Amino acid sequence: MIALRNGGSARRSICMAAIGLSIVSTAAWAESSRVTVIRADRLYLGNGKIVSPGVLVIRDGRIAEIGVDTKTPDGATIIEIADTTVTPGLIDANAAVEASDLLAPDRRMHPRTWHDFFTPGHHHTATPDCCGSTCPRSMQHVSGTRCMACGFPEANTENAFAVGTKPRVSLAEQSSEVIPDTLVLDTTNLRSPDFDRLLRGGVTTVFVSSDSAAVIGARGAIVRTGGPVDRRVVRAADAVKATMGTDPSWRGGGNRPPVRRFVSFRNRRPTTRMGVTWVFRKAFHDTLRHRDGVETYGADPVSDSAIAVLDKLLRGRIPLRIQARTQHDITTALRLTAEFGLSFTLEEATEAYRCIDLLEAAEVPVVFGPIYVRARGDRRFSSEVEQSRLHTFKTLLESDLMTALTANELREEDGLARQAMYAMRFGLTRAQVLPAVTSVPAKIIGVADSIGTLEWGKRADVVIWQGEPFDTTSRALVVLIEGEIVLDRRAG
Amino acid sequence: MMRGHIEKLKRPKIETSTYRNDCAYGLRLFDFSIFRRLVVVALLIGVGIGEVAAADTTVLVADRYVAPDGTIKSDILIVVANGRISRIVPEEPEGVDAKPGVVDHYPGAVVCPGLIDVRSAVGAYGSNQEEAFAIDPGASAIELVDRNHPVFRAAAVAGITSVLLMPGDGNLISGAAAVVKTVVVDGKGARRDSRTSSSRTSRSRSSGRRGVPGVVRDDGPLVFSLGQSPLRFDRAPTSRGGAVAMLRESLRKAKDGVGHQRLVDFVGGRLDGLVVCDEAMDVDAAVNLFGGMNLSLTLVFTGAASDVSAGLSDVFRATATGPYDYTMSPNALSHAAALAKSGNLVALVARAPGGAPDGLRVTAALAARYGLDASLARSAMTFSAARAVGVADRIGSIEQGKDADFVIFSDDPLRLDARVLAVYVDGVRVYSRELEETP
Repeated sequence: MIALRNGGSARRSICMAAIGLSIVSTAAWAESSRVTVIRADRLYLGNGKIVSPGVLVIRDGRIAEIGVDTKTPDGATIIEIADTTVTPGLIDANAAVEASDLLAPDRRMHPRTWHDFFTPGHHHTATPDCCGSTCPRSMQHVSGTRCMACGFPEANTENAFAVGTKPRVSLAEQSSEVIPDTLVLDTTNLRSPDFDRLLRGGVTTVFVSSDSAAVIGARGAIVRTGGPVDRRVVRAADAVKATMGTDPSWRGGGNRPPVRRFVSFRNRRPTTRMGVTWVFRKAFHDTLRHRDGVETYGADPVSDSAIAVLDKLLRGRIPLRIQARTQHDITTALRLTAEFGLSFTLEEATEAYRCIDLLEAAEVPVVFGPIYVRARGDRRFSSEVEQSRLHTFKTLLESDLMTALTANELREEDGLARQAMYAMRFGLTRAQVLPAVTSVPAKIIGVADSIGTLEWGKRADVVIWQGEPFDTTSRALVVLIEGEIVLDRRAG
Repeated sequence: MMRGHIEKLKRPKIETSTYRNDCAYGLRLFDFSIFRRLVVVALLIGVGIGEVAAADTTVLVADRYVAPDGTIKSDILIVVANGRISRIVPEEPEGVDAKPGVVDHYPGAVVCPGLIDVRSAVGAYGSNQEEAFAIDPGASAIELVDRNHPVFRAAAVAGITSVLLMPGDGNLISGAAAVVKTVVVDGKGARRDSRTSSSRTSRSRSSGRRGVPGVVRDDGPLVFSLGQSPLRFDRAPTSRGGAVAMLRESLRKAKDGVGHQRLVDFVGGRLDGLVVCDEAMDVDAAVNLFGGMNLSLTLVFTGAASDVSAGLSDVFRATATGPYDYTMSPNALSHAAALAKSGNLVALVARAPGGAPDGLRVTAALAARYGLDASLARSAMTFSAARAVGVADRIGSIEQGKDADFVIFSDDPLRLDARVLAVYVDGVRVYSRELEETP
């Protein structure tokens, strides 16, 4: 039977789709079309509707039929596993994907600052050193060189933790604070095993987000996590990411406090929230001046190619995203964007629960996450995570704000499905959470016409979960992207 | 002229060579087939190429030769005049008698075009990297050439007669590479081991505009690098994202005619390029940057070719890979085969002087062992290599009108027990194993 929990209109649309489809299928589609049929106990369509038990027919990579007792065409691949649930492929609207552009240790590097000079073990010999298990690249390090992956030898050593230094790590371009003319896709290795990890967590499409080291960072990309590499990129140059707060000051290693031997972009603004705001405002001021034909001047000039992108931002042709964690940074973001008439999507929003009304007034879409009590990863070095609350996502979801959930840099068992589980544990239902990891992020990143829900004609990015999705005992068994199986754990 | 290295070739015992003098050879080892060849030579010199014979003429006769397609064919007779191949007689026509000329005869040997290493730093004096700016199309590798550098000699003795001297890959655009010969044969120093004391006319085409001798081309290709090397702590770009953005911006400006003339010529299709990539994602970036621009571009790629080989031939005229050695995995060694299978023109590199002088042949032999067709492997060191760097009109194959650069191998050059018997550059025998190794 069809169990529709959200009204009857969906039943009609499904039936009509099925009827329309059966006509089309006999007329237009030839025998050679590739058909996959998935039978499951439950189909969660991602828009709040459930079909149980259900049959999903995929023809040539598109969803062709959703029904209860659909006839199986000849030659179709049938996937039928006991006690499973089918959902749309999860979408992470703010994924920090491991890139492979890490700066190779440079043997010729000399100590640049007194800080370098006095850091123990910094320039002794050329014998390789190991930084310990937390280096994301597990790389062999060379004394006298700083690892751009983990900051070794400045961080990740016991001593470094003891004195509280932060990893000065960034994949972002460091030669300027305003780099919207660079693309995250250029730094993203589409063959990175990180995409496989996302896939194992049931995530099929991600917005690859820029690093937060620059005030106005690179343009993100929308990519699929599986399938042929040459078909993975959905959008190569998407939203520009700006960052409020302290990340631009300490990430990237350039913003050293002023014991400076010489002036370089390695010792650069900003070192405070004042500086961050100054850089942001100046960039857009420069753009407006450039538009008026007035020559720009002053410190930290913005490159012409960056101004071209900022101009499109001001005209609303490129979306803007702003990472802000604390209430103060969120309000700063709202102030600055109001000043320039910009609309934006808020990232992270750790303290959003403290300014829900302001956000609602500005109608800002929010990509919230991850949910945590104690931050992990690089976030643990930030002072902005102390007021994190487990109920924030519930507060956001119950407000008028369009809210998506992200796992950011967390993967596999810690990934987006686990974040959804946390959200359910802290007061939300599965029906509330599922859209926040499927259809809502699809809307926020602007791909809702092709993915995000299981509907006729949409791309067949589908996850088959063991049991109920987001349960502690559930995991992704089979993942299909465009109707092709890209992950298959049926064997175990 | 810088002739120090030529002086080394002067050996007093040269005059006692037994190989060179055809009459002596004929008397000592009478062989009808040889006799027939001599007759042909005589015919050619006496009748066919009279005007050339008056100048400096050498005739090379061998049982086998490497054809432009890389296959080994039998019986060739090459007439060299003024440093170029003036005539090739692959078969033996009916002979008539005439006065025999100067003939080098290598029974059982294989004549191969001089090998070409298309990624080298051979002969560079000092650092080959200008580090101040990441986009530096104005630099010219030809300015680095030290004609007296001993590694030139080491390369020549291994059969490498031309190298692409590349500016370092530490910049996004490192400047123009240069193709130089490993031995300079100047006008006066012809044929040191020959009894013919000819006064050769100097060949201006072997001397570049910048006055450096022994140059095949000094104006390119323009070298790009998309790997890790251009990323630096202390100047832009510090990241791949920044690197690609900078390159994209430079190319865009060059299309509008802004920027260094070489870059403008490059995007206009008037200058060829060479792009160095370490990983598959670098190649993706190169395809994104240069695809659809109708450029003459060669990819130099050391990463896993199986990831990227399909579709490369649409963007790149050739792909250079290597060097290979015995410590590498079978997967890595089959990259050249994978590239060739998907329709790429494959060239092989030795990165001399980083490796052993024989690295180019070892690379080719390993590539052939792991699936690259043997003729393609031979071509990858010669004709394909020349095509990959835009000098195929002058070197890389035994064809009429081309420079007379040869290596005489005792056997198929892919056989690593084959030895270099002699090396010719611009028609001059610059190395003879027998002469140099006989005590």
